[in-house]
Amino acid sequence: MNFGRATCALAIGGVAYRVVSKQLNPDEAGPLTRYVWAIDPEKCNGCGICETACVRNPSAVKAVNDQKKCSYCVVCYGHISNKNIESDKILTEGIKVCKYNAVKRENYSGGPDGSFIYKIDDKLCTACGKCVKNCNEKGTRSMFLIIRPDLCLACNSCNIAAKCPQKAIDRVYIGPEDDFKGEYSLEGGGEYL
Amino acid sequence: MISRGNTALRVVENTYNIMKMKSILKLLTAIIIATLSLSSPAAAAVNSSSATQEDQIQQGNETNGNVAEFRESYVPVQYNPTPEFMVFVDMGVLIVIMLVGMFFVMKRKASWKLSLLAIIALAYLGIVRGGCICPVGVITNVTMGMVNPRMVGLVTLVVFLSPLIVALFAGRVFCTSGCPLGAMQHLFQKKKKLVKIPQKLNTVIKIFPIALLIGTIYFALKSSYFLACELEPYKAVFFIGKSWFEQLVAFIAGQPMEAKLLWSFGFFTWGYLLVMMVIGYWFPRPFCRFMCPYGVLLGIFSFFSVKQRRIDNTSCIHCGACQKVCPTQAIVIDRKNKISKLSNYDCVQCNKCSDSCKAKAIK
Repeated sequence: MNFGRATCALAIGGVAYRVVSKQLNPDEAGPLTRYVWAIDPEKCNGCGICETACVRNPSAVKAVNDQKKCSYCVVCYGHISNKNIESDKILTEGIKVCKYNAVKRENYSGGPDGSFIYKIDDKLCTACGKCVKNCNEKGTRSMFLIIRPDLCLACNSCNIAAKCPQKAIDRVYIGPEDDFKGEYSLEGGGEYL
Repeated sequence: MISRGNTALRVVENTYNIMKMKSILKLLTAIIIATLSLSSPAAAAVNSSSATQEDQIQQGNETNGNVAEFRESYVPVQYNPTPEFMVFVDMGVLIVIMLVGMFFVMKRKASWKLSLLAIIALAYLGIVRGGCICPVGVITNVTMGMVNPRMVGLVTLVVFLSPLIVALFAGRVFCTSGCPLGAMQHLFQKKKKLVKIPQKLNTVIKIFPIALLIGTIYFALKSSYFLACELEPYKAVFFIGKSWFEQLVAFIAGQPMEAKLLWSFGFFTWGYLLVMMVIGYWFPRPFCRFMCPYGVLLGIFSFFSVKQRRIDNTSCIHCGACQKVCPTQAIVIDRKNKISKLSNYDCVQCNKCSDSCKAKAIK
């Protein structure tokens, strides 16, 4: 009995020593607690699987528009699909790409042919990826999908990562996510497993 | 999905006459659903045509701004994950719960005290924090951590090791008091007249958790696939509980995060959960006994524990009262030879046997 007890204590000690000795060394230390899932916008093609595959419904994936990359066009490919209409009729007659009308158009400089700011309402977005796809193919690639870390349940086995045809989803160290993929991009800020 | 679940619940409850529970549950869910769906005006906007009107109002409200300046001064909207210190809070709560549970178990206190701890564990670790401090899934993390220590965090390691250390002192305290999965099964089981599996079948069934432990370790090494997490039936409740709780907090703070209430997982997961809950009503702790891979480790450690639960054969009158209430069939009473045995490998330290014993033979 005592022998068994000693073996168990030794096993606990061994596991603890193996991990703790490496973790206390700052060169080899991993994250303190956990990773978060993140989408690489370079690989993502906006197929829309995130909308349905996520265990959350509505999905934890949301589309965002990077205002530093956006060129504030009068006609936005992520906003409407029939672009050969007069610029003052876009809001009334334009066929919206988003079926929930989550892409909001806002006049910034005045006049029908000025600059327009496009914002995506995250409460309406369902991550179907249509605006992202259009913006990637014809626009400035300013729209992209992110996994919102405040909404993500951080499952150990991410459903959308398993189903992603582009293998664009990977685990990175815990950190904030924003609608500006530069500083926090996977290659720069984050770190792959 | 909601209505289907409700009808199924109604059938079960009508047969067992728990009308009070039903009305309270119904009222609570109705209040939560009502407040949360009222809280977000965006929920209405999804299904209405008022969105175009909003656009027109915005168009009429013309401003004269310089886009280049806007681009320069634009501050990216940042979405922050749950703060990292919360994991330490979780770890602290788990350890405190287990220490209190260890005290109750060692002093052989009344079992309702342990049930109270189970309720706390279910409410905090399960529903508020999404069940993700679960040492059952941590087996995979730690196995990967054995290969590459970078893959496992220190908190994860503590969560994995602390129940084992407690088990080495007082047995599987974690299973009843600390584990949200165990609490789900502990709280929703019959009180008396539990259905017993035949003794021989029961020993055969003990192979399944061991096989699952081996399988979990194999998959962890092969493809970092979380087998135990996939097979765990209660995650649907925990995930929904977590996100509804977050939605509630966000609503009180005045900023609902999502337009509508979250609903997750498909028919298969909910069916699996329902089957496990229904089985668990008559056959107590189906997940613990037939599947849990972490239970194997805890069982081995509590087999060698310092303060073991045992039946004193001199004062025992072999009445079999403890055998009837034991949820894991850890007690075997041989009335012919007047021998009572208690297996510490199976015992989950719920203290029900010491409650039921009239001769105070359980030491």
